[in-house]
Amino acid sequence: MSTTVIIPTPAKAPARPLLPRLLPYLLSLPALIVCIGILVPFFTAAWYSLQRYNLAMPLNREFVWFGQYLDMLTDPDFWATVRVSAVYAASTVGLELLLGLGIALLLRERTRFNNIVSVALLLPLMTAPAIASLMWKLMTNPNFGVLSWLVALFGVHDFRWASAPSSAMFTVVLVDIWVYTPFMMVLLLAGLRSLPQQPFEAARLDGVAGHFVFFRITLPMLAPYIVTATLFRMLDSMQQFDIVYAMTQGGPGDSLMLFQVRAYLDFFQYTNVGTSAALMIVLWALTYALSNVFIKQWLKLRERTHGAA
Amino acid sequence: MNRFKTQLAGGIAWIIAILNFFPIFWMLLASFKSEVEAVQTPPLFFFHPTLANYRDIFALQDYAGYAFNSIAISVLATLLMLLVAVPAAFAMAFYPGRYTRDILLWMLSTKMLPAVGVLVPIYLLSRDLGLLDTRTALVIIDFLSNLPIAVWMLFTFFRETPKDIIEASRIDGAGVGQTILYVLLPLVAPGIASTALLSIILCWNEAFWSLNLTAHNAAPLTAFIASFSAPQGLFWARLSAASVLAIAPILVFGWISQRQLVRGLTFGAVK
Repeated sequence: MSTTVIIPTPAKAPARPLLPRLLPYLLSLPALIVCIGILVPFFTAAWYSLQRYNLAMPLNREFVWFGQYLDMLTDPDFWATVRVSAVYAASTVGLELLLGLGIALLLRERTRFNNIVSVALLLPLMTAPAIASLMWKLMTNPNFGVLSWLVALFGVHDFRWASAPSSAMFTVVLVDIWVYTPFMMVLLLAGLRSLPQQPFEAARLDGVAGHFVFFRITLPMLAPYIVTATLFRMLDSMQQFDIVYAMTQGGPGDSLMLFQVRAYLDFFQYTNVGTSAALMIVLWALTYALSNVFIKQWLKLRERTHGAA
Repeated sequence: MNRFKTQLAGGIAWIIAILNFFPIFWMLLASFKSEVEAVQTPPLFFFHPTLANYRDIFALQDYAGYAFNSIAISVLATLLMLLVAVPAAFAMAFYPGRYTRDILLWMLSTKMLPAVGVLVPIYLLSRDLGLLDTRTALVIIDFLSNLPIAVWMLFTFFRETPKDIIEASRIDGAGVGQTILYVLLPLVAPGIASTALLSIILCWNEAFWSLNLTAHNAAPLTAFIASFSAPQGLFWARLSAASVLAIAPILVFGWISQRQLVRGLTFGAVK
């Protein structure tokens, strides 16, 4: 991101009229106002999070400061949510990164065939996650799903996919991978294809081994793209709702109670506005902190590859 | 050796593409089965296809109404988004100030607000404004949630446009309007197209707000599928047909405009 501002200001230039000078500000004003508007419901939620506020018990509404946050710290359900969310985010993002990178390397050359395949790979990304979940529910139904039949052929009988606590996470991660690996792939493929060719040619002329080229040239040069792609997926994955809710509604039991799923149920099943809001503020804080780490990394990497930004 | 490697890579690419397409294919297949065939074990790959499910949907459900809602909401939200985001991104890219980068990052950070967290305030607000189950509410929400990312995308596109070109055309005697219309617009049009395209796809696939803020009147296709699967969850063939009808328009649309789509997805990351 370039922030170098070059403002030619000759010493005795006649003052420019007011309107053109103000124009840039006027142009960005609507967007700014709208973005500040987005914050209004957020602050309302933050306000709710400081109150004991259950729609079913309106008379008990009371300001409790950080009471609900303190309660959370000793609530095993909260820590279960943290654990489940962490496992979900780490496994989806990690696997999608590996797969996306692998596929991008595979399709690196600009051949007709590769271009067709890479466009075909975009289809899951254009499918609504809610409907993608239906596709997978159809395939993983323990009674008649085509995947259940397939694993049975390999001797795994009665695999219950999303309806057993032990395999629910695996199943939902699989759906997430199907939907979002293309996103990683597209980003990394674009990155790979935009890398300068000289280092690779030099390495080829010197007869450098393939794995050495990959770890010492490709990966470091690709690092900024990897960080951006991972950041975007990480934000989405921590806030996952659509897929998990459509597949299992957070179950079976508590096995898939991600942050947003639990907060949603807190509100709709228990009408508990206060705890639901507090949970969301915690999620926001985590997301914000994590993305700051990533953005710092990204800026540092950019500086190294592009020179001072 | 090299030839073998190329063929191997091609083979793997084929396998990945097929695995990738299979879930969509399987649902498409199910939509042409009878209800009994759809849940048969072992799964049926060859059967006598029927159009009964599609006929049922058009006969019993208001598919056209839901589709109209999806189209109207996606297009209006995208237009509104462009109207606000293009000038802002233009100003930030062509007249950057000291705080431009901070403002951009801050805008982007509003994307981190969890949807469920703002659901209650927004639900109450739309109820008080009488906007529940209206297309207006969804247009506004889709517009709001896509705006930050759109400004960011447009900014990265605009930044790549040479700035001297504006000066040059002004010196050649073109007015502000002419400069924008004949010089700038053709240069930035692909970027705007990519942003608009991505926004349309995101709006079309948006399910969370559609489900929570609409009933029948303003429900788009994603809400239609949900309402469909709840009471009729066991009718897999018909549900599949409904899902195919809900995703087909956007898949076709995306396939036609793949070039812009890929450019849109890789915004910023590549530059």
